[in-house]
Amino acid sequence: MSEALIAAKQISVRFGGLWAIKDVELQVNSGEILGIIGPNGAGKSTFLNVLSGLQRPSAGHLVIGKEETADPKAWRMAKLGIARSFQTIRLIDDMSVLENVLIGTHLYAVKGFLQVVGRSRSWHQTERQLKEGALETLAWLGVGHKAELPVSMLPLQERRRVEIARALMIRPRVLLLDEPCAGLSQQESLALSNLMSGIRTRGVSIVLVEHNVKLVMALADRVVVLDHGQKIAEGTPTEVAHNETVIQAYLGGEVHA
Amino acid sequence: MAEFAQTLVNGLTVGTLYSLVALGLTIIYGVMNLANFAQGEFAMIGGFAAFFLIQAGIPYPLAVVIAFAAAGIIGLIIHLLANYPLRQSEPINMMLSSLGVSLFLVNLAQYLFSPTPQVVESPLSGKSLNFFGIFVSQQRLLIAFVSIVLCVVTYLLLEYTRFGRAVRAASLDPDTAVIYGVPTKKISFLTFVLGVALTGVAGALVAPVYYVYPTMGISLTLKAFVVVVLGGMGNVVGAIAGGLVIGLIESLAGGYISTGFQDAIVFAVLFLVLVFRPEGILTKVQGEKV
Amino acid sequence: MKREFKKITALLGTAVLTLSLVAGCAAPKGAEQTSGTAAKDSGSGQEIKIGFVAQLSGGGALYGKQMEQGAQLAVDEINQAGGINGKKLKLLPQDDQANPSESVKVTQKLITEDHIDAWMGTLKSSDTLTDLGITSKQNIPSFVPIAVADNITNSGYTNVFRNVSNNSMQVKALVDYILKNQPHKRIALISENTDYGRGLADTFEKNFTAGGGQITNKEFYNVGQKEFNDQLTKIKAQKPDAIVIGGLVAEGALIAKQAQELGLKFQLYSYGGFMGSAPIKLAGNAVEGLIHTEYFTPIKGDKKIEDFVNAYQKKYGEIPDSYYSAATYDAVYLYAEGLKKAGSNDLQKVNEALHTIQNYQGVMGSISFDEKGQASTKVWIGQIKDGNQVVIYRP
Repeated sequence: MSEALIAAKQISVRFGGLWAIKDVELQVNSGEILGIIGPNGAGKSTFLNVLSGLQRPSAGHLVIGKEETADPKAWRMAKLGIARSFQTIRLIDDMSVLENVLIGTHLYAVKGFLQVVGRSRSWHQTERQLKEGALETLAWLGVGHKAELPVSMLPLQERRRVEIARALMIRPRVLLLDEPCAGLSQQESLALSNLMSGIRTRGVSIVLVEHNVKLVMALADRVVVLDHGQKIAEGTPTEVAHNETVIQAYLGGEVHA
Repeated sequence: MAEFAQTLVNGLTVGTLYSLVALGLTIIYGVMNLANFAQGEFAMIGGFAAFFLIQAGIPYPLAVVIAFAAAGIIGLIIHLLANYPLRQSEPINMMLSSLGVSLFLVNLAQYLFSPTPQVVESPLSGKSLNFFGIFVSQQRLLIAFVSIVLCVVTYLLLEYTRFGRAVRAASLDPDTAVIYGVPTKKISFLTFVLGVALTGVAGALVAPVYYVYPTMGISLTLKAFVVVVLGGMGNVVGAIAGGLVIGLIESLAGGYISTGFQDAIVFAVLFLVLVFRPEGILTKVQGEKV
Repeated sequence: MKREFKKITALLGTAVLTLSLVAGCAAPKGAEQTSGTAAKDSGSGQEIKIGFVAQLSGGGALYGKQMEQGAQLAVDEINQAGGINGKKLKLLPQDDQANPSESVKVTQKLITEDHIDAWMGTLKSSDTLTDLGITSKQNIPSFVPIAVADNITNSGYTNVFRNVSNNSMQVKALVDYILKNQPHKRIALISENTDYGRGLADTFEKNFTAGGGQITNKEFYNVGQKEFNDQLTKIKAQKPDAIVIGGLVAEGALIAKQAQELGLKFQLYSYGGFMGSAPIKLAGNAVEGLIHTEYFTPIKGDKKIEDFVNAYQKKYGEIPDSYYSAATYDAVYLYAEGLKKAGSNDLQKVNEALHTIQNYQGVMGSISFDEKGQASTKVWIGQIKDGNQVVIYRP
């Protein structure tokens, strides 16, 4: 097994008296696509929020590379190379596609105030490089021709791609995708899953939370199943598909390999 | 005809000043969600800075530049003492805190400098240009010119630089911005300093026209709020355009309705905006944020 | 989120509207209460206490301070000369922040806690009127040295004494002077949007048109306003011979400056609210030639005035350049005169004695009170010439 990029240790999240997640233990390996599935309310999104620093775990901690933290912070996670997309797309409607994507490059900006104000050569250079990089990524994701349009004018599947482009701009090692295919047609979903494979081949690990179990089974290297906040199974898609507990959880054989 | 032209000129020159102060107010609101009631006090700080610098023999243009820095530095201190500790709490707490800051700065200035108005002389004081019977004071032209330049520069800064993009991202969707590595805390700190420093310049600019005294900022704050509500909270273009609109409404109302009801008319407009278009006249209706 | 946003905007708007009302009505509160001298030694009976109420902090503190200094100077002089009826005078200054509710509060306190024997105040006619309502219930001799609204002495109080001309007398004096001595027949009025300013404008219009003159404009502005270009542009279009400013120094100086910048070259007139050395300091050559009514000017050649000016300058290091200090100085002496005549500090006896005062020579001229308590003082006409105050007409 290759090196773990993120390891979640005994993560629990409690809302009021309810355990949204209880003692979940998993790790994300370099270069893999890890699928997380489970029925509604299983705690998938909450878990993703923990991984991206939006939800403080009530107990447990994360190990990211060499860093260990019980209280992950969103801004810190970006620096550690963890990017994410959202189920309800969070793009900034008042900005163009390109600008939205450039937000992801903030970490790589020229920091010196004087250099920025003076529009020094290095400022110009990085600015141009970042812009070229952003355009390249957009083109690769098939939305390059819409770079200058306001984001609000794009159809849903293209907005999803823009959000993924923005996440890629922070040069992540792990990309967390929250229901990327929600609301997409079968064809669009297929195109997007091809794209995910492409991203993986570029060396970015993907944690994929997805409703569409079939798509996950086809795409993921490993699958983790959550139910009522607990991990009930973990393994290759084939292993999971034949797990009795999983079949029970999905109420009688909805899981097809 | 000359009277009408003069009225327009009066309104526009005052309007540029409103734009400048409202600009600072609106970017602070946008990024920090803070309705900064102490905004005008930074004009007072800029004004007094100009007053003392000129007394010390510093030439006026340099005094204006230093006033920008002085307001910025005091803004930095205020941010650390009054805003930063409240960053996690409800927006209303920070707003109340800014009200306290306003009272504190006014009283401190009264204690240090006395309530007496002070005269600030600029090289343009008392000089006017006469275009076919329309008079414009040179200092007011300077105010208009500098205000327009600063508004345009700030607009370009926000629209076309990385800092600006970060400011807009932090303003429109802070949660997302932070996930993508935008340091929103640093951005709000820089925005606050920039916002009040711009108002500091406004103070140094109006000092030769209006005198300098501790309570000079209060009416400016009010006008800026009217402008910002009119233009849409957090909307930069709205603030700049709104300033000009309010300046014009004021002078046209004074010129053709009644000078006794000038303020009443401006506030009536504000009231109508609040009732019929609370998101501001120039704001597009935005999609739901999460 | 959007609803939230609307809510915040609406809340803000309401806050702004409310604040604007507050800011319009009252000058912001000052840093400190000047009550250091207000000792609490009631009931000794060895002191005659004069309660003094004026704005001592905030925007108008400049004038309140001058009032206090004038009164304190008179108190000190009288005490040095042995006091009155074997007792010393004591001034108890209170800051009312030019705020009606605050004014009532401190007046109430002076009466119930300090048991004052006389009351003096304030800078604003409206505040003075409400305060007089309280002092009159106790029949406390009350002096009004500064506030000039007509109705202060028309309210039927027998314990109220004003040793300064009221607005009508002031306006009439100015109108008479202009009609008799100046060529200006078409005049524009610009006045503050208060009882004071509106009263001045209405009375001027009535008297001036009755005398054959014409009013071209009646413009108003709010106290604290800084922009007058709109009013002045309207005035300019009517091409009057002169402008009469009915307001106070802070706004008057800006009006003069902005008139100059707009290329208006009309003769300027003003009243007691806009005179003294402050306009010269604030507006420079924009007020050169300004003609104004006045009650007091520190001129040379009058022994009484010279003595006062010298004593004042010695004590406070500045020249009393307007009536704010002279009027309170006179008021304290008038009270002392009343005490002497009454032979005690019995409230009713003092009130009766004050009404009998005839031709008392104060620094502001000869004073006799009529049955309403209004002094029949004369109004002078002054002018700013070469940056100095000169008296050009002294009836």
